[in-house]
Amino acid sequence: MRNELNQIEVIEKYLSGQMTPAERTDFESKMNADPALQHDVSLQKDLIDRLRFLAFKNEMISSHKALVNFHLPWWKRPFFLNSFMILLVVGLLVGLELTFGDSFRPENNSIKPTIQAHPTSSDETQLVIHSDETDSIQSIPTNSSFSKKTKPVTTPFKDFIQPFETATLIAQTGGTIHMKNSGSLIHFPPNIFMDSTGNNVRGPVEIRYREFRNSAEMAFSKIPMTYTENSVEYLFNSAGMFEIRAFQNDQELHLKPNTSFTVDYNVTETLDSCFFFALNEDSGEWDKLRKIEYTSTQNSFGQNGPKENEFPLNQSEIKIKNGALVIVLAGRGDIREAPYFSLTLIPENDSISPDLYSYKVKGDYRNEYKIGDIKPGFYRAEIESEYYIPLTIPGIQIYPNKLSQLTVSLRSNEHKIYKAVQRGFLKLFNRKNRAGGPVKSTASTFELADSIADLTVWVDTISNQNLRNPTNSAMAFNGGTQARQTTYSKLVPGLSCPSFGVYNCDQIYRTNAMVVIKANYRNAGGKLITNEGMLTLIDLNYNGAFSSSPPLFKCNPTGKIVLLLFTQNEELFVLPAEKFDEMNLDQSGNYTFEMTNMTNSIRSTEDLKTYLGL
Amino acid sequence: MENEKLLQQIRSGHNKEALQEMYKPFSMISSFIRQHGGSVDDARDVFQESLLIFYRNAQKPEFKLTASLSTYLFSICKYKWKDELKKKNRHVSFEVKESADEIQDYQLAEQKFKWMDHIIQSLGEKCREILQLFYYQKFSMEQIAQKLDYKNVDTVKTQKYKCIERAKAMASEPNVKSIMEEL
Repeated sequence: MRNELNQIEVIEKYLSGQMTPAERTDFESKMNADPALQHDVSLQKDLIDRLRFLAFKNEMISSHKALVNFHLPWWKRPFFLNSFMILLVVGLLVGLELTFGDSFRPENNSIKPTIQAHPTSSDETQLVIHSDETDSIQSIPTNSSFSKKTKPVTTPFKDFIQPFETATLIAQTGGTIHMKNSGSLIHFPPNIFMDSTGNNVRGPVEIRYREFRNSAEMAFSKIPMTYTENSVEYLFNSAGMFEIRAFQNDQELHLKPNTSFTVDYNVTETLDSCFFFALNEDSGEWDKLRKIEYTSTQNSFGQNGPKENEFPLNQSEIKIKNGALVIVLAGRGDIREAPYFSLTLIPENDSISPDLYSYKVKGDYRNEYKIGDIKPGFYRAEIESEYYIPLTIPGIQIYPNKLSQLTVSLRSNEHKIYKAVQRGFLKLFNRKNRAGGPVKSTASTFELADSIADLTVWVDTISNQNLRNPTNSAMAFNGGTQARQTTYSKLVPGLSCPSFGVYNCDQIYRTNAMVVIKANYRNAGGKLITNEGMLTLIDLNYNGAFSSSPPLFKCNPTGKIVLLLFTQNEELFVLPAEKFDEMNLDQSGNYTFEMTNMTNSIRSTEDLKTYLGL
Repeated sequence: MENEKLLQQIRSGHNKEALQEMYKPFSMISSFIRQHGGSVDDARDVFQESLLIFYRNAQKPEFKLTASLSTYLFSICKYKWKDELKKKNRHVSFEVKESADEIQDYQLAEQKFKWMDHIIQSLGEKCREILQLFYYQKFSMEQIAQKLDYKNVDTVKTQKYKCIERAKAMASEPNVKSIMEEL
């Protein structure tokens, strides 16, 4: 244990009388010689005494009614009184039935109606009585609101809670899961799962995974964002956090001893001195696992970086309804150079092993290529070539009974260009125009044709220069927003995870300027907000969110601080960064914050992201 | 119950049994207060404060209960209620002899230590649970590890000390005490 914790242990031993007489004498002489130690001992004693006092007070208050009733005479106790009243009422009813019951029943009991509920078009359900003899239907609408709609059960602020993505794999074979939203990959070796009693697990395993990539997603997570090292507390600037669990039949699973899975994690940005942390769920503290290294192969421009005038082509997701994705990489006959390309179809279906069912074809741009006998499933296509930037087209669906082969072709719907480039030489990267300026294309959308034979890819806007000059072999397709140069940030491969739980990629920082704030909160009308639940503090200069008890918190007064106050009656109050800045909180103290009720406009993580400008 | 046994229960963390014993005179005290111009809520508040005074004193190893618990609590409650009536400018029709010192000590202690309440609250649920189980309910480390599903005793011990460290660090921040005292 650290020296500081050892000191606490020694003081505790002293205060609880567990020291030997010699130890006690020695410790007291140290105290006499050291006023700081005296103060430390006194503070620890006072804190523990106060804690004990508060615990007693809370127990007394919460048990008051039960304690009062405990001492009441038995005939005065509520349980007895309630039971007596119930028995009395039941007794009266039975008595009435026995005495007067028959006079309420009809004489003719030959028809026993059946009662059925029939849903109507409204939410009200009608009770319909069928008479067996006459087969007539007497419809008696219900008076009460017998509605088929039931009030949904909600948890407070549920739309701020990051949802889990789920995937299934077979425990004895393992596999790789590709997280579509972030691009992260999780690799599970075979046979690493065990249940809570240590037994080996076989069969389907459900993996639940979620990421927290920005302050808005972290705001309600309650995951600690501080790290202590050598008694110094640091704050996290996160490059992304994730939580991963495994279940079988809703029973949580664990990793076998000395096993691990690895994550290729798409960090949000390549921070210097970034480390990989695991949350120790027993202690609530972070354990530093390793430093994160970035490699150049993760650069989506290719190993040697972007060539001059090149920047990557982004494609939005393409889905096929009735046909196939057809991509033609056909070159003109007179092109002397014909750089090779390679197309790989990688299955995204969890039940299809990527090692067994990837399809690859290599060739050059002068020909059309087909891949046959493709197993039905959901794939993503990767096209690579020596010269061109890898183009990833996710979301190719191969339907059973429709295709046994895939013809790869890619065309433009700009008709002027269409014919010209149909047999043209397509370079799948953006290129600046001849004048040297940037391509003026903007975000493109892609739609799929319904025909089985081929797919036409439309490009909304293409550089005017290139449009007018279809012979320009530098045909540019901009599949995404020009300002965004990569689809994903750095993919950090091989982060080894020794257990299920929460992990974080962070830079740590410390500020000496922290102040302690004793806070009161008022709404716009000046009324005190008293039903505070949870406070989240976000410094917009960093990627993180800090949960705190509302009445008392610490913060960096020079930060770009936003306060989010979640109340117990599900309201959300916000203090924006500008207002925090105006308060000039340069020292610890008692402060009142005038909060804006944003309950109606910030209802979810997405709303919060928009509000924070993330 | 004998006084010594009650004090022993309080000091050894048998709080539930101790509270049951402490509540024996409630009915009598409640009647007294209601007969002298108070409500059911007044009776509850005054009685509970007397218990807090008693509990605080019971923690001191040298404290001894010379009279019966009922007499002790009754005298504190009478004094407190007399005080309340005077504040409301209402007539006091009963005599009170002792307890001024005890109540004054309690009020001074409250003034001195109440600022720590927010610090303890800000420790978070996990910390408060461990500390209460150990210091209030007198659970052993093994019992706490089992109850809270910790892997081993050392982890709980370390966590407990970290919680105390956090509380002390917060309490040692400059100006925190003066901030807390402005309540």
